[in-house]
Amino acid sequence: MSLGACLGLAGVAGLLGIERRAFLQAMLSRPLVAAPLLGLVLGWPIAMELVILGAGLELFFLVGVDLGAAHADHELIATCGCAASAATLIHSGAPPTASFAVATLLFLPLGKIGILCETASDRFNACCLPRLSDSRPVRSQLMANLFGIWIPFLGAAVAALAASFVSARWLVPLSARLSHRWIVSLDFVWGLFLVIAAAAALRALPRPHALPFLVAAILLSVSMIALREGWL
Amino acid sequence: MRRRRFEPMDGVGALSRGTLARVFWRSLFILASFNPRDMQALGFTFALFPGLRKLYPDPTALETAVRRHLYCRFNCHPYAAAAILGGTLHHEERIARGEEPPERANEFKQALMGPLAAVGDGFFWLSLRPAVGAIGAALALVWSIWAMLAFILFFNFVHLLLRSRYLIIGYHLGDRVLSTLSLTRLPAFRSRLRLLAALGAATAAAYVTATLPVRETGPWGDLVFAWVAFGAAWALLAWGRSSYFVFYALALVTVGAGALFFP
Repeated sequence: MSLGACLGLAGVAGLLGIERRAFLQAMLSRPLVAAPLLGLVLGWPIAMELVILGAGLELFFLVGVDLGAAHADHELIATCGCAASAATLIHSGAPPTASFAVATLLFLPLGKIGILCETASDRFNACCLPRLSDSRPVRSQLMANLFGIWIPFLGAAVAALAASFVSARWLVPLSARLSHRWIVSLDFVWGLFLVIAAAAALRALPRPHALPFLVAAILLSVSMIALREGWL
Repeated sequence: MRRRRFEPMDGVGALSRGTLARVFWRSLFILASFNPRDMQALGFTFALFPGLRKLYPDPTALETAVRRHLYCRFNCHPYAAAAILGGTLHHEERIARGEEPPERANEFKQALMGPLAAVGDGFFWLSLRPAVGAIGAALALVWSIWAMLAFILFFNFVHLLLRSRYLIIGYHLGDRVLSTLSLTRLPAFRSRLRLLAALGAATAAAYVTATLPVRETGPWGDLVFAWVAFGAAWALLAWGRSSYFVFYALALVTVGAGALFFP
């Protein structure tokens, strides 16, 4: 993968990091949107593939929310890692579902590590606060508000860059040597991730609502298969 | 002439639409400098500044007004904070005219930030976003990129409409903003949105279990695998395990089984 593509991935990831917290909060940084946007750096076909990855990650991180000073899992940093890795693998010719499985297995924990980025950002912002003794014009003092965009930018950009580097350097050569057995196993792992993400999403919702929908989901999936196989 | 749905209070109106637009633009950066000490105080004052500059042409009075907010701890949901921004400008306009004491603005902020944070968090973060996210994820499995666009457009239509209206309502109504906002009955929509979220998550569960990207065991074998995995995940999550643990534990079992049984 070219240096330009790597820098493009890092740049888009960084901007999404800013959008998540420091500016706008328009949900562009949600996995459902962020994954295809990162894929777009490598082309429209990869962006279309990464929509499925984004959908799975969106369900996995559905109900996490920052309340007050308490930080939830950093879904964007996890998405940047997974999407950058999957995009690099698919770009090199690896099968999409196996790429998604490898990317989520390796880079999903970035969601927990990303909390450190949030904590670092909080501490940095506390250091930049204007002091009572500050004699500069108030307009200059208030511009310190914008210093807070840097750590979210760097956190997401570094995650995307590191995942892309690791994938290009080690995972792409490895994927070329995978046997059929491993590819099938990884396909199952990706299917498993989607199932677990859906279970986690449904489970995270208020209990009285979940069970009727669970029963409906089972009936719907059986009906879908029966329709597909021509039994209905 | 366009008829307003509410009557402005207390003769405010010194700030032009351009100034309010600049305040709205700056309010998008309200969380940029969030920190555990003052929370959003710096971001709030940064957003307020264009309005304060118009209300206090004297540099000394402006500095006093800015410092009044800069060192007052503030924390609220970023969208709902627009109502408090507007209401604070309402009070600052009356303070600038000498009709209210200077501490009135901070009293207003401190009184409203808790209730509006609860409303904002409960509606936007815990209801609207999961509902739109779950439905978007379910549709994305079928409609691909169009579902993503629908998710963004729908969420931001609601988000930007409410955020801008909160600022204007807060500026014109001041203390009456909370009673006016309560008329929108946002909490009443929460249960319906959570139902939608459950619908989206269940539809996604049905779709992924029915269309598992594996063709090794046939459609019914894949379905059994998917629902056994779903049941195992549900049980582990009910047992208190994190979703990360559930994924890695079941992935290990799957890969191990694959190594043993797949050709």
